[in-house]
Amino acid sequence: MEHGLGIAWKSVSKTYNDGTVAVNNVSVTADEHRTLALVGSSGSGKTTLLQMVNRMVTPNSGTVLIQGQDNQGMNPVTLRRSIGYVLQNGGLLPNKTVLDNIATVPVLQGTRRKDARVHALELLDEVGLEKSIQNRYPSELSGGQQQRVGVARALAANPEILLMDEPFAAVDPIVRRNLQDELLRLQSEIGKTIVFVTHDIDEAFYLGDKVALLRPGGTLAQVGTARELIDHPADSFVASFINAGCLRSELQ
Amino acid sequence: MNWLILNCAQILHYALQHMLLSVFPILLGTLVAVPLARLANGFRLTRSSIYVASSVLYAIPSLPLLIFLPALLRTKILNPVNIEVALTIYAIAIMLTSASHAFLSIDPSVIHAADAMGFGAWKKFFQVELPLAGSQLLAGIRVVSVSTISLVTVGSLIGVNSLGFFFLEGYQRDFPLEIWVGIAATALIALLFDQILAICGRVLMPWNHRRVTRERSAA
Repeated sequence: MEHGLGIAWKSVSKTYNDGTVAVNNVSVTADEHRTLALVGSSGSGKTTLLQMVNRMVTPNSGTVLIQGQDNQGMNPVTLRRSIGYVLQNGGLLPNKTVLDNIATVPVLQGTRRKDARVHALELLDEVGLEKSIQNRYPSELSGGQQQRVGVARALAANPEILLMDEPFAAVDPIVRRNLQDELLRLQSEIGKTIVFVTHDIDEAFYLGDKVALLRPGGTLAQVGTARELIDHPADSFVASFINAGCLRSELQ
Repeated sequence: MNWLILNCAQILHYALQHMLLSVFPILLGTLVAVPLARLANGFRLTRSSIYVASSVLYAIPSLPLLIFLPALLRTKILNPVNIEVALTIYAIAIMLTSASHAFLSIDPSVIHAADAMGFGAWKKFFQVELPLAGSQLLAGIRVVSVSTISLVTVGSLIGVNSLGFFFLEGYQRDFPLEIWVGIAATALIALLFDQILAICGRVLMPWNHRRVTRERSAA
């Protein structure tokens, strides 16, 4: 990793108002142009960590550095427009067509709607969708198509960083594998800094250049490549989390 | 039947008058209530007080209000402004609650996505919240419309004439046909307004109707 680039969480903690400790003193980095997979069961704080990057969540303590800059000093609206975000259900705006959904962020940034649509049409192709669906509304798409549109929208403003929050969790296994392969292909072309949240250790190993495994209660269990985690699990928690995943994929 | 033919011009005149008197309270009531409800939704205290306020407003009896308003507004008793203000109050009362519910019904994950994409507050309101609350807001406006059109008739009691004139005159002359004509014409106007609103909804919010059409054509 080139020093200081990418995203660095420095001793961040977050306790929500209801007293839930989501993240407890986590330090981890997402290297530039690489994919960091944040994996853990529910309540392990992975989504909270992800949302600290675009300031949807503010840590109670610690800092998040983006390209070496503390993101607390950045304007949240500008920051969010500069970061691609893909959600589980696609997070598409139901009242906009496919093309206008993809064009959303460039238009917010001041690109002329006509130009943004032309670019959106190119992106449809890039994420493997037919141009014929451009004027449909999200409710007229399949789950897999919605996710692809979600990815296209996240890429539209050509962000350096892509945040993906369990983007493929709601689609069936075959479509999911398809989308994962396409993401790998796309990433080999565009080389974004991706933070990918998942509860599925196999998905984390498959997509992540680096995997950060979190424990319930929001502490970091281990960070490393898939190889490192499999060969040298830090403790019994890591070993059992990985084994459970392996067992599941054998059963499938 | 003869009466109907002989008074055709007068019926049309009052029908037109009726529509004119109805339009303003429907529009103004909506324009006031929708942003107010959205603002109030932001805080628990203001949100709950909205429901109280709208019940209280709606509970004001219309006739005393119409007599009381001229004193308050310093208008002449025959001034149509009185009835317009009264009807706007009722429109707001109805619309506040339904607008509040309309905004609360929006899928929070869509709002989250809009925030995460970097919508500012105003753009989010106009491009996301308003359209997505749209179908429920429209349902509220349709109730306001019907209610206003029927309440306009009360104006005849204080000399602001609409189709309500025929209720009053028919009653005084003990001539039921005239009352029935007034009722039928009022109902027709209510239907007309309702259809216009429904068409507006279909044109302005195509995403609510597209899938239904598709399913139908597939069936």
